[in-house]
Formats: sequence, structure tokens, C-alpha cells
Amino acid sequence: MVAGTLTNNTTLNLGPSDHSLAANTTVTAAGLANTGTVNLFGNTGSPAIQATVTVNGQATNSGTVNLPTATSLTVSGTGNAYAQTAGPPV
Amino acid sequence: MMPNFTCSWNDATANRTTVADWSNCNGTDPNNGGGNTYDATIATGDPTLTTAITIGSVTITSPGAWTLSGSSASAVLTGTLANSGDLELHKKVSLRTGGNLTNSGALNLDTVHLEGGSSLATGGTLNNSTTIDVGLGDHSLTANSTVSAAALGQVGTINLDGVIGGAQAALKIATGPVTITSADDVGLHDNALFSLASGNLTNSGALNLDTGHPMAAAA
Repeated sequence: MVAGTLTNNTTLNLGPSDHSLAANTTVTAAGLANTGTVNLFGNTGSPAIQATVTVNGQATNSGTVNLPTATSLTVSGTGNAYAQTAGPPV
Repeated sequence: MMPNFTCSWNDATANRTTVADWSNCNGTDPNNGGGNTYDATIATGDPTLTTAITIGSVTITSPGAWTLSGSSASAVLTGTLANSGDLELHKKVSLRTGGNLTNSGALNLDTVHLEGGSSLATGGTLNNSTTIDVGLGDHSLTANSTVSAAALGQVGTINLDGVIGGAQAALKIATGPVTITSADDVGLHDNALFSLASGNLTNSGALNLDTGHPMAAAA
């Protein structure tokens, strides 16, 4: 849990890349500024077990956010928005 | 002004209450009281702590070690703690500093099978240039184990290993900013928590949440 903004310039991994996540895994921050790569790996065999990023404020992405099965990126809060300026679509 | 003594451990591994194993210590073992205060230097051996003490600052240099073991072991440091040797906290112990904690050696909390419940609280800034391990990777942590600090300067390598559905390994920082640099590596595994209560977190290094973090991990 990050009370302020999470800035990621390199790689942030949630969950194992073999999609065998054993329990819900969450990153929560008041803001997100991503210029690197965020990889979320949930459990594809048990999609209820999720890797999630929750942003309670502004989120900007000029890097890459990978969201396969059993993952989510949620940007919440009044007036808050997700802005993507580069990278593949989320 | 109370007299202050800087005590040096001069033996191998023994209980720290062994008075003869301390040099320059006013004929006692270091534990504030009787109008005196004590600092401790450990450059050799391991003055194992199994009781409650209050002292000033502690300096551990390799090959020296300091082990706190058992639920009765509690150390309150009114000053700082500098460790370039080996600091070991096992089985429900408590260690709290009033000042900064600088770690450039080994620092382990409950890293033996079926241990847990220990806490390390830093009243100042935690600076880590080597590795801090909390819990063991075999999913055997028996109770929550926590490292906390008012601030986190140099991050270093920090491994948190909890138990899914069970005990949590946690790193709790009160005030940011915190920057994970390219030289740093933070890993959260199986019910681990990294929380930053205020301020921003910048990841320019490695931040990996592998499995099972029911709470927001520090991202």
C-alpha cells in the first residue's frame, strides 16, 4: 500500500509468470506513473485468484502494462483518469 | 549527566549477562540503570540476548554477531544500531531503536523453520546496503514478523516470506519518499506486505510480488 504515487521506471511484477498465483495479490497506490513495464500474472486455471493494481487517483502510462487473464488495473475516484501515451493498449 | 560506558564483548558465543565477557563496562553487563548508560560494541563472538534490556547504541562488526532469541528477549536502544556483522532475531523477540539503523551485514528475522512473531522497529531511518530477510521461503512462519521504520533510505535487498492464509511478513515505512534503485531488490512472497504510510514510492530497480498478498503490497 503506497499512500502517495507509485512511479515505476523499470519492471513491476505481480504474480508468477507461469500464471500459478496462489492468492490474490494487490498493489494499491494514490497514483501511478508508469514509464517501465508492469506485468500482472493471475491464475489462469482459477481466475478468481487475481493480480490487481488499484489506483485511487491519476494513472499515467507511457510504458507497458500487461494484463492477461485473471488480472485487472482499476483507476477509481471522482475525476480520476487513466492516460496512456505509449505502449500497447491496456 | 549520567556516566556512559562503551562496552566491548570479548568472548565467543555466550549469554550477554556474563559480566566477565565485557570489557570497559564498569564491572557489569551493558544495561542502563543505576545512574549509568551503556553502549555496546560487538566485534567478535555473539552475546546472546534472552532477557529485556535498555541500552544506548550498539555497533556490530564482522565477525561479531548479536542474537536475540525467545519471547523474553527485548532490546530497547535509545540510540542507533550499526550492523556490519550479523544481527539475528528469532522467536518472538523485540528490538527497537530510537535512532537510525544501518545494515551492511546480515540481518535475519525469524528465518529458521517454524519461527515467527519478531519485530524490529527503527525510530529513525533504516539504511540497508546488503540483505534483510524476514521469514523463510518454506512457508513456515508461525506468527507475523515485522520490520518497521520511520523512513527508508537505502533499500538494498529485502525479502519478505509469509504464509498464505497464515502469518504475514511485513515491511512498514511511515514516511516517504522511498526509491528502489537499480542496485536494490525487493521481493514479497506469500502473504507479505510492504506499506508506505505517506509519501511516494519510485521503483527503478526490482520490485516483485510473487504470490499471495491479500493486502496492498507496496507496491
